[in-house]
Amino acid sequence: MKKIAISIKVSTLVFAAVLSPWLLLSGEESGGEIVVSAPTDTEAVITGNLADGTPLASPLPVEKPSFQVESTQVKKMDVIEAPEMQGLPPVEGTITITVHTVADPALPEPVPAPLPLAVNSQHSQEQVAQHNATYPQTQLVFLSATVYDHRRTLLRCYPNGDISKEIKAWSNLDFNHFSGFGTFDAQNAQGDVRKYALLMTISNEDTTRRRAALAARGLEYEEPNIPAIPDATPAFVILTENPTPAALTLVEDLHALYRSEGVRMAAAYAARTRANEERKAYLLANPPQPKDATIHFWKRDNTGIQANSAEGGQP
Amino acid sequence: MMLRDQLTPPLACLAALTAMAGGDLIPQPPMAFVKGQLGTFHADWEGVAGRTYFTQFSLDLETWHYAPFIEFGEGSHSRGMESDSPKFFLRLHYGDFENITSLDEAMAADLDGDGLSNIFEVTYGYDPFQTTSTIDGPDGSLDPDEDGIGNSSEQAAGSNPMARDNPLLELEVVID
Repeated sequence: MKKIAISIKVSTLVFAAVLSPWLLLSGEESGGEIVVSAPTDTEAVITGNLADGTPLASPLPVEKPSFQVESTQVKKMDVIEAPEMQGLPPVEGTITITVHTVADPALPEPVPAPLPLAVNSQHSQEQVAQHNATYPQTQLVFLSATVYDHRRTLLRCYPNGDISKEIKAWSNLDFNHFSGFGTFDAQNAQGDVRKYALLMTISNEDTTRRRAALAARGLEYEEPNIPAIPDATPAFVILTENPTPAALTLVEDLHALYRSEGVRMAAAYAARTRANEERKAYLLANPPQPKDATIHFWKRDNTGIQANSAEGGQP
Repeated sequence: MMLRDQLTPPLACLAALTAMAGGDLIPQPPMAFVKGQLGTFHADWEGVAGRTYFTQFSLDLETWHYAPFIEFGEGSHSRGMESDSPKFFLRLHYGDFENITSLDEAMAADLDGDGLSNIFEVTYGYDPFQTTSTIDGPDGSLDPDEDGIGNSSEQAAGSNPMARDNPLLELEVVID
């Protein structure tokens, strides 16, 4: 495994402090690195649902048209489908496909799709500008998290997917807990609201297993150079020199979120893990069968085609 | 004979145009897929003069089945559909055939020369371009309803090869 060098010497930091706003953060030096705690003047909350493994409510049954069957064709087909969860065998079996030719149920025409807005018109631009001025914009955060032993995480964040603004940091959090939701808001003492949407990849590294696996092959595990970060409060060490203020604020807000919502996030993660294990055990004990399919075809009156095409039907 | 496939994604997101044989065809206007009422969809396309249209559907984008109808020629074509499968794909399979000049001829023609008409093949789940659509043997000699009467004879008698409704079978019962 590639060894990750994270040491930032104090002398470098002092030099960088003249140039960079990020060192104006309050932090404590620990072994040459600056440990920054989650800001206490920022309130962050998860917006929307936090998944806790509770099954989603079944969708309401869809009303079906009443069909007058004219002829029927039945076929058998062997299928292999991907399993519902990783680690389960594929769903295999023979299904019955029933194809009915039916009389035209004469359903009313669908509501036409609205015409697209003329986005370049002055009126549209003014509306967009007014909306942007009124409502805070959501920042799309691309986040890569490598979690070591469920207790430390190496973060790579890309605000709005901009690679040039990458910020790397070690965190004392288990970022597995940052799953099960997609958006959160942060608000500082001045009332500024920042809205985030997360797109995150999480990988987990079990250093004990990795070390043992490599040792069994006569190889030495190159330990990750994880800085000492106290566990008392959500905190991090920035590895990137001269990070942009926005990127730094993002990392702060992630940790502020955990300070506010961490207990709930950890509980939801544990509940999801437990629910997944139970579901997996159930599926192993009760292998699902692929489902039969029923299809209805009918010839339509052609008079509606032109209207639909002109109204923006999917080409 | 020139053939083309045109794939249109009813309930999912894939579109492609696949050439099955060489040759220059008049460009085929794309199929439009429109969401209808009560969970239905309809596929609409503009026909080209002299062109025969088969429609294929798939649940997995690997195995394609012929829908039980054929369309022909210029003008607007529209087929409605409804499926309880979470995945459902549709594509046009069309060609220009010199000896086919009407829908009746398109349905009656036997493009693969196995003795079964195109409409018989698509109605009962066979491939009108393959003399042997399944591993069970030539389409014309198969007897899916196991009434002792093969598909070719069922077609000639106008009976359903999937049901024991052949008048020859009834006659046999009377003799017994």
